[in-house]
Amino acid sequence: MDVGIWQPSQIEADTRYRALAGPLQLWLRRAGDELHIAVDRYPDFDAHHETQPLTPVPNSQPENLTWARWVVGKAGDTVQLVPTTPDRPLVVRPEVPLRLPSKQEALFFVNFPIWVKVSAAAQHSLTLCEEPCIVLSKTWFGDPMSGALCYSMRTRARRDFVDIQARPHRAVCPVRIRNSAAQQLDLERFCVHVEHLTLFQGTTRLWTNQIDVTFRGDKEISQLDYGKHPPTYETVGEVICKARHPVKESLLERGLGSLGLFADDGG
Amino acid sequence: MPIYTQIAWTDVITPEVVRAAIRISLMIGIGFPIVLLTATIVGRVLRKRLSLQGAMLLRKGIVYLGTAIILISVLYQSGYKLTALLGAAGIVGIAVGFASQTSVSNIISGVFLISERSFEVGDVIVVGDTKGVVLSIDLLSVKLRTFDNQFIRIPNESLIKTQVTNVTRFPIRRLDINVGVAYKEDPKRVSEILLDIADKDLQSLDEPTPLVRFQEFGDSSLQFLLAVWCTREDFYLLRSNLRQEIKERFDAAGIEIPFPHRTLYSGSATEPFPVRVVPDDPQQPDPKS
Repeated sequence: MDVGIWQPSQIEADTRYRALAGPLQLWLRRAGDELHIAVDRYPDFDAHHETQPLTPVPNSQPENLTWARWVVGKAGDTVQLVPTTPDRPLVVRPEVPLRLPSKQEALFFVNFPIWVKVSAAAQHSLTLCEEPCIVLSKTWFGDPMSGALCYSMRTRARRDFVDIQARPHRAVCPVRIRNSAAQQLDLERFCVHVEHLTLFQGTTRLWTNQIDVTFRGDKEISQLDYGKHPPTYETVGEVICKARHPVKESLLERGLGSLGLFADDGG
Repeated sequence: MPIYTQIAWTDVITPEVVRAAIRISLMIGIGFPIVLLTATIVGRVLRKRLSLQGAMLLRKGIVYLGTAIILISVLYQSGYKLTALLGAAGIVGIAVGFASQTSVSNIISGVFLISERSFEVGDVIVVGDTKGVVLSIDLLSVKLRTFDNQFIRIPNESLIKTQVTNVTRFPIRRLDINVGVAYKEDPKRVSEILLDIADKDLQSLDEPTPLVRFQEFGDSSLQFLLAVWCTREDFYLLRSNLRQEIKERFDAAGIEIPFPHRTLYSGSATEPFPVRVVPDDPQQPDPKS
């Protein structure tokens, strides 16, 4: 997998640069002690999968770019793009609802789009902005009186990661769900707290640590365990980005379930 | 024999009086700033642990209590017998009570409003025709700031007796948009377009799922309801954007949003009556000829 996009780049003054991360186009230029950044996206995000490091493109610029400016001083000589997880949890809905009988367990691989963090100076010490490679729609997880604002994503919930096409702007999160309840689990959606996940560089794709979910019944709270080690499904290298909010202990959360409170006839 | 005796100022302003006056001045001059400073410091220290309203109540409580203590101390230093004062206050209290029924009612209503926690400082509430942000919940009244920056004072007594809508109590809201289309339109096609609009809008939440309902056969149009959920912060933006998008998509799809209209029939299902405009002045030429 080409990881050149995640390496630091030297930025020459008064030169326009562009980087590609799937459908995301990041435009950048240095003017004195300022860094100017603009963002654009290809509308058909399924058709764009390549990555390209920050490359000078002096003669090319879309007309409708909106630039933002940062005063960074001498730190603007070096810029690094860093992959990171989305800033909100993901509500993942299988395209075909799944049913997990009592005492069964299943492993799924969730393939989600990453965000790109633009950092100035060495060791990406000065974070300027973060942009999603793909803008996901918003959704609510919980009841109308309390809950959390999340991003929404549909997934085929692959059982083998080799069935997932490797995309440089996406990361794969292994999720193992155990049904320890006496009832069947109808899995219409589950909430993945990506803010607790660490990103690793694998041979073919980006990976996160594994999530183990134990479902104890509709009236009980599920147990979530976030793996402390890299996944072992392929050769995985170093940590490329730490979790936004590291988790030290297992969590008891409502990560699974239905949303019966939303039954509404619009009357 | 003289009726009065000349009184020298030294007889009145004795050293004891001077000492008492100094003590009273120090109490007032130092006491009030200390009370205000204490209230401010406590409010700042506990700001993160308390809500905006809680911190405000605590500051006011400290100020009122401190003021009462200073006042009692000043009266005591002035030589007033507080027991006699309390006795007189009882009689005065009855008289004042009759005169201030409304104020007392407002105070008691304020206590109930605060304890009920139907709304807090920072919430947006609707009272009758008034909508605004709650600035403070005070002893006698609640203060609002309207969105066009007007200051409104509502007595607590009237709030207790009135329906109050807390617009921002819950984190998400449902936006209902009523749309009427001409009778000639296909309801399924209209529903599909409305759902697609909701699906593509970034402020619209995927869940709870947007819904479209064919509400009724109206006088001039088929009435649809598009119900979309969003965060309370995005509500007004989504309302404007969705209406705009509906108009644009309907125009592009050739779907008519009719004006209210009436059709006249001379009997059963005949052609409409023809209408011919004639000039007021018979001497003027007919514009149609």
